[in-house]
Amino acid sequence: MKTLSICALLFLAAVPARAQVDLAGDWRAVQHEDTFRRGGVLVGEYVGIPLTPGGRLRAESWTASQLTVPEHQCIPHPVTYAEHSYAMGQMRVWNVVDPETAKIVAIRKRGTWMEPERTIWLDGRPHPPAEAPHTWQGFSTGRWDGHVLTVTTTHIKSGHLQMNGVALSDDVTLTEYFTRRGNYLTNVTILHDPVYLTEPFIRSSTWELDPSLNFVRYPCGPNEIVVEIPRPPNFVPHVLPGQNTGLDEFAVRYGIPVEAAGGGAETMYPEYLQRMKTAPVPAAPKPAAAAAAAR
Amino acid sequence: MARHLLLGMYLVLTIGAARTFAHHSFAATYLEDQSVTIEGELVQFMYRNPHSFVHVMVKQKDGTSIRYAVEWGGVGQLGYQGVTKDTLKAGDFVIISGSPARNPDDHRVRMITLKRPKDGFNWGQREGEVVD
Repeated sequence: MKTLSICALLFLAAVPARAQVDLAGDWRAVQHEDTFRRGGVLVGEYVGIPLTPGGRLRAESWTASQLTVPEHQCIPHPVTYAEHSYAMGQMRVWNVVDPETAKIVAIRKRGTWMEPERTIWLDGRPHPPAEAPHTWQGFSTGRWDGHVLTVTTTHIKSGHLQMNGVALSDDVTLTEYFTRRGNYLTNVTILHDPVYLTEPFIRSSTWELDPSLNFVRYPCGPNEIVVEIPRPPNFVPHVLPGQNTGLDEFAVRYGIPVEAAGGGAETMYPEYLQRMKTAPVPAAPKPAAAAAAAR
Repeated sequence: MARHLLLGMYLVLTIGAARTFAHHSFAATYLEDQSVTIEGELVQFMYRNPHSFVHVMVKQKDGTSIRYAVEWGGVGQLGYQGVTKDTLKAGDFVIISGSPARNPDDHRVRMITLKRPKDGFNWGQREGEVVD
């Protein structure tokens, strides 16, 4: 009897090691977090991001005109950004079952804009070697820690962290924690990028289960690539270092120092509030100057 | 006047809503607090994802013409609103208002309203008719 009880306890204890929570279904983004970052950021708006000087230089050299060249028109959001973006405004999740064992060996998920689709392997396979090809959605493996699905993603192409030039390198590692509470699913993401971030960058997003969701298609492929803006052949839109005239607009709009708007780990902690009191705040441009800038 | 005020409030609200989940940063691309109006002959309508584009030849004061690229909604959004690939045709005379691009060399505009006087077709004044 004692042996039977021990066996029963061992069996019950082993159950949580499996996928305890079903994440499958159609989910609609709640959009109540980081709303200011969801696509509408200004050039020079890097607050709260632990950028390296190199990361800031790259961001300051960016121009939105780059998005219009044929080579860039259909670039999807990389997984590092997609999870918190329009791409996952609607999200479909389904399980991949091994027909031989009936075990869930992977979770697949798909978004709408540019239709990013990724696989989260749960079968214990290793990540590929470092020199393996990188993709926009990377290579993901997951494990269940209690009711939390912890996912590690590597092999992600160098892409954007924000749609204003803030970039991540292809050395970035994404760690995600998916937690379902009833009909709500939250993903907390932590980015480690040894090239462009000096500290981990943490964000979260939440979705609500919506079985009646009209899941839309939003493809972008070779047939979609056109000449959006007529330009000379081979022209690459760019801004040379030191020539970006719009970098202080965010600081002016909110009355904060330019260095605070420029991010960096030192600006992310309460101690920085003291420095903000003495750091110079840019003055709003006079109407005539603003009009000239808008030509 | 009241009608214009309501329209203005509507546009501000809808543009603000777009900021919350736009797929690329309109704030980084366009001067959202400014508006320009252009008019001319439509020379190309690209009905596609991620966004449609309308190209319009706009006559300048010196007699020359500049080709403007006007960014519009994607296929899904416009299709839901009844706009198809055949709604606009080359040769149509159109009047377009929108936010000018930050890069003036692009001659680019984010569409807010479009009117085609010959048949009264218009876009941008009904609920949901905003580029996001």
